[in-house]
Amino acid sequence: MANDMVDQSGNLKKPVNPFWGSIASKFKFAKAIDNIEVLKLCPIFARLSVKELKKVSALIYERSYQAGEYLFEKEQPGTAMFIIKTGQVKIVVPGNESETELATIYPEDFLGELALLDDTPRSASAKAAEKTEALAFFREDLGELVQTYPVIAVKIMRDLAIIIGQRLKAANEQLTAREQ
Amino acid sequence: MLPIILERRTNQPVHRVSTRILTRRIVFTVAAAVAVLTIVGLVWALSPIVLPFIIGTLFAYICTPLLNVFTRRGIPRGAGILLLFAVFFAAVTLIINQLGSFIPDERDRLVLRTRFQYKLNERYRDYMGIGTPDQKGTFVYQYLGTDLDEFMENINGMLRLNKDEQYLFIKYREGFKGRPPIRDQYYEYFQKNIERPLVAVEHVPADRDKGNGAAISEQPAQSRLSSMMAGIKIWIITPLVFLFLLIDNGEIKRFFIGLVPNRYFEVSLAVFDKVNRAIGNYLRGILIECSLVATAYIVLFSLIGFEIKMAVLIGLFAGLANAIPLLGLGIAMVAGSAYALIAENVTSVLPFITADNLILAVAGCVLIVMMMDNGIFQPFVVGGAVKLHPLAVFVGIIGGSMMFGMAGLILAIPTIVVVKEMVFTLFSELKDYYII
Repeated sequence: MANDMVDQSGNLKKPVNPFWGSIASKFKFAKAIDNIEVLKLCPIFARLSVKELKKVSALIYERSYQAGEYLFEKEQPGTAMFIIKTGQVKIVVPGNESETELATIYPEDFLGELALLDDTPRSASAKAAEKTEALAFFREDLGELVQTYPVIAVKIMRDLAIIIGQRLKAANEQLTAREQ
Repeated sequence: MLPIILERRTNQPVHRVSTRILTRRIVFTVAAAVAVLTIVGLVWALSPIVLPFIIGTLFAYICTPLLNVFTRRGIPRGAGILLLFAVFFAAVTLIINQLGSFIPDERDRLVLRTRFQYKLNERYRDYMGIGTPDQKGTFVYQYLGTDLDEFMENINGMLRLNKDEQYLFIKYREGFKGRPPIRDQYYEYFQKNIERPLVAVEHVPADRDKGNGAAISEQPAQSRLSSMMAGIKIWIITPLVFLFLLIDNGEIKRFFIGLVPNRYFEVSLAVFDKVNRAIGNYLRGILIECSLVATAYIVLFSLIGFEIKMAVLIGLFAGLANAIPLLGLGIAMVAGSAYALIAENVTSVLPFITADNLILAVAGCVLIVMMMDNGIFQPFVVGGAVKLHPLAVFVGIIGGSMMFGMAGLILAIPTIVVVKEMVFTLFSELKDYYII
């Protein structure tokens, strides 16, 4: 095998078309792979194959937040779920004078997943603790996946249901422990 | 030393945050103003291609759910797009071909004008009771005769063949340019129109000889070819827009959503989706409604004895125009009545319909289609799609046609619907998100 076809780790390089290979955005390609890797690490998309993840990655929106900027705020209707690519996000509940911090979300974690089910108001706010890049997955895009690629949509919804179920169990256990 | 007051949202000093917000507002306002002005300027400058562009967009919009169905059935997206494009291209070619054969050429136009003028005058004389010189006219004619005569003279002025056209008619009568000779009956109409006009034949220069007549007949062929080429040059955009919008797969939407500030990200997604759904439903509903109306006209006009060719032509135009309130009815009534006026041998499946009462049958058909449209098609097909105030419809049509001609006339209502839906949804969502 020619040396120029393998990289330093011995993996096969992606073939580059000599005519338009340099024109077609390498940056865009690298970015897409990156997003697919982030999605793959997110539990909701963990069961999807790379081919299926590519289809999902075509639907996501990349957003960039400065420290202190809100991803969403409490009481606003939910529209999208966010997956953290880089940075940190704090889940906070705004009070009269200060905010109560509930949790911190790190890269590859997700938040606001209930927005994938309906547009009921958010139960807390999400604020970027530092410069953060996030991937947003829109509820209506999930609806479109149901129409176009039902197998992918069912896999996502199944994992979503499992995660919500687990959180419900955990909440019940906490309540029981508190009562005892 | 004074304490630095921090802003709750960003944990940065208040003065720095307020300056940043102000700068951002100025930048967004200026950018939005420049974008709007650029779009308006472009639409104005490129007005000839606006209609082909929008029609391509509309078809892409309508076909997107079909593409989703293909994808769900396991047909790859690329193959689905190619299939839809092939169907679209075949349909456009077929329509252009069919319309080309339906649109009357020079000979047919001369014959149609002659027939129409003759029949119109004949029926006018019959209805007014002035068929023979000894008749004094009906009650209506005795009171309104002068005004009615003037009105009829104006119509005759539009229909009458001038000297060149008369010369051409005579040439076609004997067989010209490979076209079959004109029937004796129509030649008789032609002669009677000249012998017994309601008004005198318009003045034309007397120095026109036969050669000039032939030259005139050649001229339209050339101009038709050049106008056809100009049309193709503009309308080639339609299939391309259709194709690229189907290939796009939401990238344009992602680009524009990417420009939206973070604070308005979710609200913009919600607005875009709701507007998209409402417009999609409206357009698909209108398309189905127009198709049903066109089919109803074609069937009914065929039943009352229209030639199939004419029933299809009038039905299609009236169905298409049905997207604009009242215009479809008007076109069906006017075009149907005009045909009923010149129809000679009516062979209807309904025995009581003859050439004499065909015009009443046309009115009946229009009434039936109107009832079907209001009672069945609109409630069940268009459903709860956007409703417009009649005044908005009227102003929109007039304003649209004044600004963009035919394109404005056709697209005024869909544009108003889109703008109305956008504004309403935007305000509703901004309230839901506590932004206003």
